[in-house]
Amino acid sequence: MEKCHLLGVPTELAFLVFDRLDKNDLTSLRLTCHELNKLVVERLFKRIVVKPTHNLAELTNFRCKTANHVQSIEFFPARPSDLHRPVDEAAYQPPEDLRIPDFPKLIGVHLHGHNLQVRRVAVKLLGEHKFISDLTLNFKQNYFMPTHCERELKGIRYLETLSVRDGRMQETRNISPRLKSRWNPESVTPVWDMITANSDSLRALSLEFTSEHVGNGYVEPSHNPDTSALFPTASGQWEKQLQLRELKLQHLENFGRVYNETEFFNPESLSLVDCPESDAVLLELAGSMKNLKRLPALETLHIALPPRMDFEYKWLAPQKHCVKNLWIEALDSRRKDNDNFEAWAKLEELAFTEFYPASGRRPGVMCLENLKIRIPRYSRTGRRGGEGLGGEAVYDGDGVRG
Amino acid sequence: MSQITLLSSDNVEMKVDKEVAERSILIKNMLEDVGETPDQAIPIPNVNEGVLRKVIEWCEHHRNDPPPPADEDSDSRKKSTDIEEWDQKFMQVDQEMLFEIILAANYLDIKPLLDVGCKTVANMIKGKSPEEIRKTFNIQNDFTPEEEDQIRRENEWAEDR
Repeated sequence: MEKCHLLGVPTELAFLVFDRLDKNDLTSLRLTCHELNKLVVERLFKRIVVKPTHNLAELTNFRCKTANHVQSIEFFPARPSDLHRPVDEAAYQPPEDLRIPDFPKLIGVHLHGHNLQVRRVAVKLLGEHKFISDLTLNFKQNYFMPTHCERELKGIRYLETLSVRDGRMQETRNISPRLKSRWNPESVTPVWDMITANSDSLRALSLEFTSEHVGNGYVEPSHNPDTSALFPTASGQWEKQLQLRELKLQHLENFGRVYNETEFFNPESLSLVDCPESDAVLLELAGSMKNLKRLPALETLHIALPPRMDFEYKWLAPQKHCVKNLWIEALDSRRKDNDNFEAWAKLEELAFTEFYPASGRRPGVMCLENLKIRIPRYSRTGRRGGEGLGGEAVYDGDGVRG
Repeated sequence: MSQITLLSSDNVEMKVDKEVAERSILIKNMLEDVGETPDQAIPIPNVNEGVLRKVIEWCEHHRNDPPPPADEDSDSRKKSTDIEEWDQKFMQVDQEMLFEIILAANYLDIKPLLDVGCKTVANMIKGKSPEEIRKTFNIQNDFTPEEEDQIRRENEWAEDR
């Protein structure tokens, strides 16, 4: 029989081929012979995806030699019907009897959506894998809240990347506006405990606190919690300042107050998304700190303000000698006294997003790589020219600084 | 135009424009280290005459190509399997030669040629059933029906790429 050349290539070259194949092709390739199965399985099961349509009991189908390759597990959002159905806690079975394979190389768990069955698996996974370094937890639904996995979160060590979404669920609010608010700042206590317990290793932190009124312009007094109240600010809570590479805060009210009271942030890269009141407080902070002891020199700064909020550039001035990447999502308020970025010595990339004034929606980001400005035509004519670069005017660096 | 001589693994000398040979990063670095055009043939011990001629043919055709973009390792580029027409015809060779070209491109560090080779193999796999892949690459099925069944069940959990 003729030789099989595919089986003769070095592994690293075989991987270059496999990287160009989609899941269906790889699963077919896996079924051809033992040798290819051994090579493909590493690529195919590095990350596994659990969807609402999966029968979780079938997780036991994993053989050890396949489970050995799993480094990350992602739980995809629940079915829409799960989101709005009242949670029947009586139907929840604690995970003690649940059998799931051992994933010895598991370092990443990402929970985006849940139902009771998924909660059971998630709690089991968190309980049995103490060395997860990359964790995403979505606590925006009743199915899964920090209190459901308090003991498991306490045990996690050496966490490097943590992303937590908490607060009321926007989607539920829109569909069922009469639903009672579940706002309870104390419910996040296990998360803060986990953050402080991992303060030596944590490098990237993303916290999203959704409140009902953010984004839809609709405020109902009983549904208007101050998200900054979620932060524990008692003295001694933040014994160690977090030395973060990345900090992203979303929907956090009064960032300045939290920053002042906790003093635990020390990020290289800061992203504030829909954080009302951050502008004025940061201006004050920057103005009172000549060498920015409190707000560290940043390489990347991303600020996205809620719709209808204007933005002043003045408070960015103390950062102009260090920021390399600047991304502003806000109403364009570039008036005469605003910065023309002439003195931003290290700036490599600049991007703006303007809100379309009539509707308040975001039309997309204009990237100004290497200081090339791209301005959508609608900003001058009142009408958008089209998606992408086709509808934009391009100016070079001189145009920016002129 | 200055020329250099390459010596294949089966001791065949081939004269080639320096500019063409420098599509190979390995040769380019070698020439830079030496500092001047060498009088002696440069040995290419891992590549035989037939394969080296094919590689030179590709380098000749692509001698004026711009350097690969900086984002060459990006996911979208990696996943693309589009091959330009000339390269498609160039790669219409038997499998032994195809894989020899890939190995040579890897050894000589000619990333765009390695790219074309891997895309060609990927295109030979795409959309095929396990049996069709076996037939294409002369692979012998060594699975028991039970093993096949177990793999099919595991595949349900594989990542969507």
